[in-house]
Amino acid sequence: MTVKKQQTDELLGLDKFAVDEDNPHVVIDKEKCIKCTEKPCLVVCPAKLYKLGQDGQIQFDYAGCLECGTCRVMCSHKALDWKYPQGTFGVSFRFG
Amino acid sequence: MSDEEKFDAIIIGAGPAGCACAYILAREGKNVLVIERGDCPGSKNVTGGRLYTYALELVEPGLYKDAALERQVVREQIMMLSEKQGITIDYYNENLEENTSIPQSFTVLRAKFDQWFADKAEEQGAMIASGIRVDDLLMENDKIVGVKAGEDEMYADIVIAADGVNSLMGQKAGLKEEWNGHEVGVGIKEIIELPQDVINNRFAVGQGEGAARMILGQTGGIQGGGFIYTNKTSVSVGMVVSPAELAKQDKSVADIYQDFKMHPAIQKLISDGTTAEYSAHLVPENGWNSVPKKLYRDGFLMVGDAAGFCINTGTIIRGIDLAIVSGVAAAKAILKESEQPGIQYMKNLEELSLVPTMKLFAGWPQITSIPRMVQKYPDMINETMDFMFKVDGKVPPKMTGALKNIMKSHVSLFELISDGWRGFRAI
Amino acid sequence: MKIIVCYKWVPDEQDIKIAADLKVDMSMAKWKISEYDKNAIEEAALQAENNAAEVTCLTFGTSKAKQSLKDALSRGPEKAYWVNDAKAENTDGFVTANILAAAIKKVGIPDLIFFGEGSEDSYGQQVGPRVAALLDIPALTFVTKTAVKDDAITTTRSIGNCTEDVTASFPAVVCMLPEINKPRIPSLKQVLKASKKPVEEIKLADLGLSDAELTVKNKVKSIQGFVMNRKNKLYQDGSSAEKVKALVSDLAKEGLA
Repeated sequence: MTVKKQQTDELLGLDKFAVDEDNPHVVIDKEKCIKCTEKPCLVVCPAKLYKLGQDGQIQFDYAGCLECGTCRVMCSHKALDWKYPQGTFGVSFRFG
Repeated sequence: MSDEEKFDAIIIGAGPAGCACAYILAREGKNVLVIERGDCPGSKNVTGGRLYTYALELVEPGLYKDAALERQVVREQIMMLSEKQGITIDYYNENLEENTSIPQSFTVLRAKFDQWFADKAEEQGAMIASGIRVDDLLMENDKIVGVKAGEDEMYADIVIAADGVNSLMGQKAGLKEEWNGHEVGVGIKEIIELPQDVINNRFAVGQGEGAARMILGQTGGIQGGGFIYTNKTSVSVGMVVSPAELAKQDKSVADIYQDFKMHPAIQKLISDGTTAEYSAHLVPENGWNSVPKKLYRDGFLMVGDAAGFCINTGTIIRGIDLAIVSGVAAAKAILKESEQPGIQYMKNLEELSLVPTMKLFAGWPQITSIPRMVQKYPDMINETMDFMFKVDGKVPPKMTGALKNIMKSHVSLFELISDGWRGFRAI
Repeated sequence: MKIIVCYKWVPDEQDIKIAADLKVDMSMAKWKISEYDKNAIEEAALQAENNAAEVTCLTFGTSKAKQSLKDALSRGPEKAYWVNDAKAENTDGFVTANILAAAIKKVGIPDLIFFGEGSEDSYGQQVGPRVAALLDIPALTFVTKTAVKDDAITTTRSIGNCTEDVTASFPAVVCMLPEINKPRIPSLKQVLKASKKPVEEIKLADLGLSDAELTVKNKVKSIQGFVMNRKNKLYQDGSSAEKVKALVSDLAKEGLA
C-alpha cells in the first residue's frame, strides 16, 4: 500500500479503541448547540466526529475520539460535558 | 498494607513529567504512587517529536543509553512550501555534547518511551497504577490531601498534577484557567511505516541517525506549521495549527492535513509507506504567557504540559524535555522537606533554567503567529527560488527589479516593516 | 469453599496485523488476559464477595506472563500460581491441561475450578474439560449462570437454542460463556492491593510430568490470515420483488439456495 489521501473514518480504523458503551465521555447539550452559530466543533475535531444533521442539529459520536480536547477548548457555549473516558477505555496509541 | 495507607506523593499521569518525578522520589526512598488513566503508560500520549537528552541526564546520568528512543537527530531541517514548490534548508550536525559526546536529541514515540520510563520508575520502587482515571482532588482545610478515583480515595502529603495539556486536575485545584483557542495548537499526526533502509536513503542519514524537519506553509493559510520526524521504521508526519483560526476560516483540520501530507515535496518522502496510526493532541503554543500565574498550592504542584511548559521557537519545539525538567524540579522540591515545596519548586525551575528559558522565548509566539508566516512568506521565497533557477531560453528579467516585483506581489512594504517591528519587539 | 480460576495470557487481537501476503504479524501486539477468562475470574470474585469463597488464580505461561499476575490479582483472587515455562510458547490443549491439572493437584484440588469456555486466541475449548477428565471430576461447560448451595454448584448451560440446568457436587470444573457477567474494571484500591498479594511460581520440573505428557499432539505449522472475497454485486434495478428474485437466482447459481 502506498500513502494516499484518506478519509478520517478509514484512518480511525487503524487505531485501537476500547469503547465504553455504557458511559459516553463527551455529552453534548443539543439545546445549546442549536443556538450556536459558529459551530467550531465541525472543523476543529481531527477525527471529524461532529457532523451537522439535515435537521440542523449537531450529531456526535464519541467512539473514535482521540481525546485531544480541542472541541472542549473551542466550545464557547459550554455545551460539552467533557471528561476523559473511564480508565482503560478510549483510544490506545500504539506509537504516539 | 492497609487501605488507609498514605503515600508520600501521588502523581497523576505517567508521562515524562510524572515518570521523572516518580523516578527520583522513589530512588530517594519516598513512597510514590503514579496513577495513569491509559491501559498502560504512553497509550494516551502523542509527540511530534523529539526528546532533548540533557533532560534525561538530569534524572540519572547515562539513563538515555537504554531508553526507548528512535533515532539520533543529525539533520535539522526547515522547509518552506508553496503550492507546488518547496525549499529545504538542511543543517547537518552530529550534535554531540562537547566532553561527554552525549547526542543532543533523539526522535521518540511516546507509547514506547513512556512505557519504558514508567518501568524505570517502577524499578526504583514507584508504584504505577494504570487504567485508573483520577476524578477529583481531596481537599481538607484548603489543602489538597489526596485524590479520588471512582469510589476510592487515596491520601498523600503532596499531589502532583502531571495530567497533560488539558489538566482537568489543575482546573479542579483552581490554578488553571481554561485555554482559549489562541493559546493552543491542535496537533495531528500520521505514523507512516517504511523500511529502515528507505528512511536512511531518503533522509540521507546513517544507521540509527535521523532528521527533524519543521515546515512552514501549506497549512491551508492557518497559523501553525508542519513537521516530519524519522523514527526507526516509520516517519512521523504531522502539523500543529491554531484551532481558533480554523474556526474563523471555517476550514477542517483533518482535510488540511490530508492535503498537506500529499504535497508533492512531502509525499515523495513517504511514498510507498503504510499509515499505521492516526493521532491528535493539543499543544500549549503560547509559551510563558500562558503558564498559569501560580503552579502550586498547599499540597499540590503542576508539572509538564499541565503547567503549559512548551517552547516553539519556529525552528524547534520543546516539550518533553521541559516536562522532565519540571518533574525533576518537583521531586527535588519535595525531597528538600521544606515547609513550602511550592516555593522551592519555583526556585528549582529557575535554577534548572526552565523558567528563564521560557521567559526568553516569551515573545516568540508573536512571531510564529504572524499570519503572513504561513503563506505569503513561504510563497515569496519559493517564487524567488523559481526566478533564480529558471531557464526557459528567454532573456530573464533583471535581478533587482524581478526580486522587488516578487516581493511586492506578496507583501506590502508596510506589512514587511510591521512584521519586522513585531519580530524585533518580540526578541 | 475454595476456587481456583485458570486463565491464559494472549496477544491482543486488535494488535495483530495481517499483511497483504496473509502473513500474521504479532510483533506489535500487547498481551492481555483472554477476555473469556476475565469472565471466569469475575465469577470467582463474585463467589468470594457473596459466598466468602477463597479464590486463587492459576496460569501457565512464559516469563512474559509475569505481567499478567498483577492484572489478574486486581480482579479479585487472593493469590496467584504461575507455572513459568518457555514451553507455553508452543503448547496445545493436551499439554496445557496436563500441566494445569498437575499444578492443581500440587496445590490441592479445590471445590471449584473455573475456566473461560475457550481462549481468545485459539478457542480450542479443550483445557477445561480435559482438566476435569484428568482430575476425574465433572465438567460443566457453556455456563451462563451459577448458583452455589452447600457442597454443590447449579449452573445454567446455554446449548444451541435451549438452556439446561445442571447441578454437580464439589469438586467440579465450570467453563463460562461471556454472557455470564461483566468483568470489572479494577479500581485503584484493587490495583494497589494486587501488588501486595502473594505470587507462587511453580517450576514445570516440580510437577512430575513425563515427556509424553509434555509433548504436544497438535503442531502448528503456520498461521495465515484469510481474505473474505465479496462479489460486490448491487441489486439496484427494478422493484423490490424483482431485486429479491435476482438475488435468489444468483444464490441458487452459487448452490446456496
